[in-house]
Amino acid sequence: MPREDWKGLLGRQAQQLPAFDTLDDQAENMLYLEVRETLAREERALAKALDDSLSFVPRLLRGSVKKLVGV
Amino acid sequence: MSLQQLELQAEREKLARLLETPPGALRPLEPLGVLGLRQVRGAVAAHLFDRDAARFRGLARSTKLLPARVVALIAQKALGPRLAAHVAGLLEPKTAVALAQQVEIDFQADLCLFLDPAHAGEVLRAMPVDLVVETSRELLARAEYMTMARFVDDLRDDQIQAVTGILDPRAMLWIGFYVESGTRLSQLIARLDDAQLLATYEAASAEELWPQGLAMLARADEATARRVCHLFAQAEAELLPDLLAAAEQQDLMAEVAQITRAAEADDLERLRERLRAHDPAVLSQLEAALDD
Repeated sequence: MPREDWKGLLGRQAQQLPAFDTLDDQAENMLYLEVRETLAREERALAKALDDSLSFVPRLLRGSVKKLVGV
Repeated sequence: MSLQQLELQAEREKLARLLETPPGALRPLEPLGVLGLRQVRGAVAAHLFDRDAARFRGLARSTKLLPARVVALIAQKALGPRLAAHVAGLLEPKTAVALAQQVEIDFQADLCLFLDPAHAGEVLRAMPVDLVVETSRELLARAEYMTMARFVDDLRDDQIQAVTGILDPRAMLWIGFYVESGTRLSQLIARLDDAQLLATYEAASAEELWPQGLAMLARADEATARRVCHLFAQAEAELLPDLLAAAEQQDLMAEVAQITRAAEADDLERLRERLRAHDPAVLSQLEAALDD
């Protein structure tokens, strides 16, 4: 798998990854898919959590919190 | 199972926790070795934090607008432990303590599963000892040894000391197995009194946890190995034959030899005498390993 694919997934943190030359292609692909799924799951969880959180914030403060969090 | 295989297993379990996948599914990654798996874990964890860092910081700042009770409610009912863990490390220590005192211990323990101690060191060290102990009790009840081991590097000495007081021998073996820093592991073991340390190895014998016990000892410093050899030489129970049998079976004789070489001369002689009386064949096994 080209290193660029990992860079697309993990950005600058891809530099921290080890060389995958001891792995076969199937194992590297499996890892890539696991990592991609984890990142997607986290993104969905964050979006939902931010939405849910705002419902607990008193209406008067909601605008300020939204501004701070960037939603 | 060799020490390297044990370390590999521990590292695979840590990565599996991060990716929320069964550890067995990551077996094909073992050719990466301990360091390679650790690098993958580090890169993914860092990216998860980096990617949404601005939002996590915003959430941390927003805690100043709201009463601690409301923030604690939001953390528990809406954010959940995983996201709350990302935010926790960005809070001012005083705010983090106030919030930690408002949330349920269950949630606090859940949050620990996902907290990156490297990002949250200051916050962790600010936590009152009683809260650390209470959370540790909950983690112990869940047998979350891997999680507890991750905090050993970053807690204050008095926090560690207090937690050491509530560890049972089985927990000590598993936590020692998962701790990454040999130096910190040695410091942790040094906090155990002789009775606790001996009980730890009696548990290794009784519960067939010698691989964990040996892995822990092989990574600790020479002074720790010397102390354990002294305890084995003086112990009423015949721990050494049992240890050697397990080591032989699990390909850990090299680790036993490394530990035994640290013994004081009179302790080594006493261990030899005891083995000779128990079974000369077992003594020959140890001598062969020491000669290798």
